[in-house]
Amino acid sequence: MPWKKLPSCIILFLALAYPVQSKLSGQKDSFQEDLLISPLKDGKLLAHFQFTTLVDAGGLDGKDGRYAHYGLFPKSIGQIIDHHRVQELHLTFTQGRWQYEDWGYPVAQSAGTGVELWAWMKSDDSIESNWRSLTNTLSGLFCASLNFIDDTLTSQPELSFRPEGAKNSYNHNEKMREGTEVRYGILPHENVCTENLTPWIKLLPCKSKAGIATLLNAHKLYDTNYHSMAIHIRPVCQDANCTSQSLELVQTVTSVLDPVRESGRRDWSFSSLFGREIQSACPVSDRSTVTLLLPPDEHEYQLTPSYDTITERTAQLERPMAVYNLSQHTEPLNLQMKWNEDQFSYPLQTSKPRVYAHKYMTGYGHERGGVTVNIFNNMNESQDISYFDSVPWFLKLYLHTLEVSVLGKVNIQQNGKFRAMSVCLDKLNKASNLGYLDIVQDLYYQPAVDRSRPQVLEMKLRLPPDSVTAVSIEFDKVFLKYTEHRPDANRGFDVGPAVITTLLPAGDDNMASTVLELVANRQVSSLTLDTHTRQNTKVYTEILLASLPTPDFSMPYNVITLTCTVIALFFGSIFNLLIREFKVTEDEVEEKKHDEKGDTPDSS
Amino acid sequence: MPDSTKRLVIASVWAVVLLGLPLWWKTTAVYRAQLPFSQIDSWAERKACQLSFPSTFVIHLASIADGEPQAHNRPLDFAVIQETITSNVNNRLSSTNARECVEFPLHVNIQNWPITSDMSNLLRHTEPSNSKQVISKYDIFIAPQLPAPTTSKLAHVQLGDDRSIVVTLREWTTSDIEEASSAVIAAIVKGERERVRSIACDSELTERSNLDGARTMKFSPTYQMTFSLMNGNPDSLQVDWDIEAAVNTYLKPFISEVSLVSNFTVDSQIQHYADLAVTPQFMEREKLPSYYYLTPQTLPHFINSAEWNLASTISSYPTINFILYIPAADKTPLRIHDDKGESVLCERQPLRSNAFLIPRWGGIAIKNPPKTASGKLEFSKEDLKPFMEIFVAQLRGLIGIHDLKKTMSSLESSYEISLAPTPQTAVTVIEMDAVVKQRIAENVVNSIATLKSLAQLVMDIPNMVVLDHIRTEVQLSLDSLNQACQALQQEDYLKALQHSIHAIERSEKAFFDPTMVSMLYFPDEHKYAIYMPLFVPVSVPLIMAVIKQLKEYKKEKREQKIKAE
Repeated sequence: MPWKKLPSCIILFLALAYPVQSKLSGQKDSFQEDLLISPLKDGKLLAHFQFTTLVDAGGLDGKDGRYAHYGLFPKSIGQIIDHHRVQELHLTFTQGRWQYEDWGYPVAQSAGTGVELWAWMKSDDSIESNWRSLTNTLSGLFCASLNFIDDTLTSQPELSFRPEGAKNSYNHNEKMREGTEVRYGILPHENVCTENLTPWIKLLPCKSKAGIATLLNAHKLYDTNYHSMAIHIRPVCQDANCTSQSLELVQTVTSVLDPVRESGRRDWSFSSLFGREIQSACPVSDRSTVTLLLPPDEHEYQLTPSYDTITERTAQLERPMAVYNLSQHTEPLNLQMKWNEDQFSYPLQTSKPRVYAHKYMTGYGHERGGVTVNIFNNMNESQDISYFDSVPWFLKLYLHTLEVSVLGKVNIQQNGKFRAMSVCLDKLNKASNLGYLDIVQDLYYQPAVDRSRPQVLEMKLRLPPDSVTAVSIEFDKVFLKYTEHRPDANRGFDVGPAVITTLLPAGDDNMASTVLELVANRQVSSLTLDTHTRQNTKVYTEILLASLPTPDFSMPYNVITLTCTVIALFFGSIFNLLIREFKVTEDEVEEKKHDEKGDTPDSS
Repeated sequence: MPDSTKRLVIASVWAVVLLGLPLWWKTTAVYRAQLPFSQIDSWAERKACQLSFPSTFVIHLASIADGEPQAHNRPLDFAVIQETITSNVNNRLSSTNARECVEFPLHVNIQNWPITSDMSNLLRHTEPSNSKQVISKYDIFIAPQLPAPTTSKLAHVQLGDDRSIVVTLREWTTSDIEEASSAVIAAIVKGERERVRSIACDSELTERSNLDGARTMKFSPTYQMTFSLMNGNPDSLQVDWDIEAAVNTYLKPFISEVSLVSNFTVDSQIQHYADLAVTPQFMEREKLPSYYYLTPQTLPHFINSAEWNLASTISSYPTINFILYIPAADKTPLRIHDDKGESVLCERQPLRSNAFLIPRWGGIAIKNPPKTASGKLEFSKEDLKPFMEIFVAQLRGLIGIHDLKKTMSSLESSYEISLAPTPQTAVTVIEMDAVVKQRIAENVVNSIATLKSLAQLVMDIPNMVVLDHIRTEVQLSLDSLNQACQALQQEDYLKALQHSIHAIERSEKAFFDPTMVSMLYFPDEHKYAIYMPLFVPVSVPLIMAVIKQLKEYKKEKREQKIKAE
């Protein structure tokens, strides 16, 4: 009776097949690669590479506490975050400065010049040693001097640098933040180059052998106005209720290229920008797209080859975007854009972004100085921001000199005129009682400890509409020990940027990141842009160079030598005095003889 | 001023200078803790403690009941047998090396054994927890072969996966008992004795030439084991594997058995676009499918360490790598050629296992994807079984386990040998015993060598600071060595292993201490240079005064002589 055997056969087959299948499909690794290109207003070209690897986080805090079997997710990164109990990690290598006023806001979270590292880690007794070990390990992995982020550069922001994982978003972060602590460190002086890019590329599943990453040509990439390379690791929710989590690794390279520099025209192609073409999509990727954010006027340019899909222009997104899906392309893709103009003329007026800032040093001399941050708000409404600044211990801040002054249309109802207003810290309450703007909402200050921790100044500010808010503080410069100076002592010491974190709705100056989110959510075809979602935007100021009093490094030797010489001279003369024989010369003797007439003189 | 006063002044100044010089020397000298050099030397010359690796064999002789067919009636003289066996074994083994820096005492006890009905029980692991306690204590059960003997061989030797051996003799005579038991004992201890002796006595140079020593990983309390699935070209074929289940099934029992000596951490990864660093040669065959092959000369360059992410970032324990390599489609099938048959004109044959071992690094197996495979190749637990078997065999070699079967094969001419089926753990207790002994010897020898080079370093570089904690580590390491040596003499191998691990860890901690770098400190030349402006101007008048005084003294002497004349 063969039919009788059949069901049991099927059951047996299923029983055999099930565990195997569930195991293999249980590794929900996925990999997506995206390239976003956007012409900027000043003729530059933004190229933003983004590689996203997702892994089931259930495996990462597995039953034996250790995740050991890696697929697409790089093992080295997985081991690092696992070993150091890292919840969330952001590491950015930046060369050059993002020009907020010309370019708007960057696509991914950018950072100040140099290397920035911040991580949310499990808070337990070993967090300090974990952080130290984390910086050392990453330093080895990326060939960077991250190990110099020691206690003197590490700070714990209280108001900025909130967790970014979906699990602990802004709305309900307090509960989720329990049991974790943030550590932040920046090395403004670090140069970023090929030796950092090579290990970064090795983390990609396809390395630079296939897919979008083939365009990452170090020779071209570092010949740009701005370059930033980052890895962001954070837990994200797999569904709306967040019942299960994934671990997301986002690797980005953001670069601002200048096609105008060589030809005077804005024309570009992949081969002219990167010296390469995209041969094929990375075979292990789930999605592989090139997205081009087009200029508003479609008669200005020509595009070859033509796009696969394009979005409609809407009120929020007035620039359409063309999408190339690489997995559908069999030919190598060499995207070309030609502008219908002979020569590019630089725009004289650019629209400023809504919130941006500048930082500069004040004062003169080697003894004391000051630092001022101007924060611009170009919106017609007041804006809440949080301000973060970590100042090294060798600049001794004086909190009583902290001054927050506003230049803007305050009290416009009263006199209808621009009016400068200065609010000192001790007058803050008075100012708010008087009905002036309550600008400083919250303030957190951590004094420095010499040679062991930096000052941290954090403020929650409410920027008045259309205003410039200046935050200034004065400091003394410390005379360092001569061994504490760098080899190039007269260059000065770099001081990291101030960071302004604010929630901004999507808008014209924030176009690119919106686009990327849309691509990521696969909403390219049905574009619904929610203007109410506000994005967590960070604005970094310039880094500063503080010149400290520099000693004469040969001084210790000089002092020793001089002292020795003086002692030797002194000794020599005293010794000579002691042993010298003082004799009356013959002439004198004769004279004396002559004087005393016959008396025999004693030899003295 | 009279001359005597002047001389007094000069003498007193010189006295101050001469007294001050040692003070200056002392105050400007670097701190150097006194290391126990003499103890280190006595260890290096193997005089401090005699290393000995004793082993005990308890021979259980069947006491034959009356009703049984008997070969002889008179009771066996245990003392005589014991003596004969001991001298027999020593005769068989002593010819190897005259220079004895390590001893191997052998204890043989003979007991009566009321024969039980089921002998096969003896060969099983009965009390696994208990059996760990008595490393190097073996039981040999000797009984006459009860059913009529079928073979012409002298005896039938059965080895269990425990420390017990059953020998059934064809003829129940004293000489046969002696002969069989001494042969078995010699076969068991021979291999481990030779290896321990070569580790303990031979210098580093001869060890290098020794193939075993070169293959075995340097000892570490923990190893990281990384399994990597390398895919040559994911464009044509994508791969995935169920390594977690395979590791749990095929490797975990082995690891837990070996954890007595070292611990292992296991992880795995998949690497795409793993290019070969060497270009394989092409072999075209008529009528047969052609293939690509690698020669043994190119195999050392097989690992593309620049591009394959094999390094571990989080710990400094040595890594053992195992790679399952899937060649790209244009290099398929990829095979490995053996060295054998190179000179012969006949066609060289590729290795059947298609795998090879890199000494002190790991193992590699090449899997050619089936021609029909396209799109995705998934290795289930069952698919991985042959590769895991290869890897386990390679791992045995890498951590220094030697096949018992090979050791016992020397007996095959006159004895019938049957080994218990390879246990799940892929390593038998007797093999593990040998590993424990080897590791103890290796650790002791290496920590002595480390301490010796530390002492050499400290003596060679006089301006290197030696801090107190270095001395403490050295002292602790010496103490551990002492304890390990004493534990060995008491036949407590587990304790000896622990102490030897402590000894090597501490000696390396002292040697690799970050303060032990001579470049960190002020060299003597700088000291002289700095004090030169003081010493030269001070010494010139001092010396001149002395010379002048001497001249005057001579002159006075001469004048006195003249006067006297």
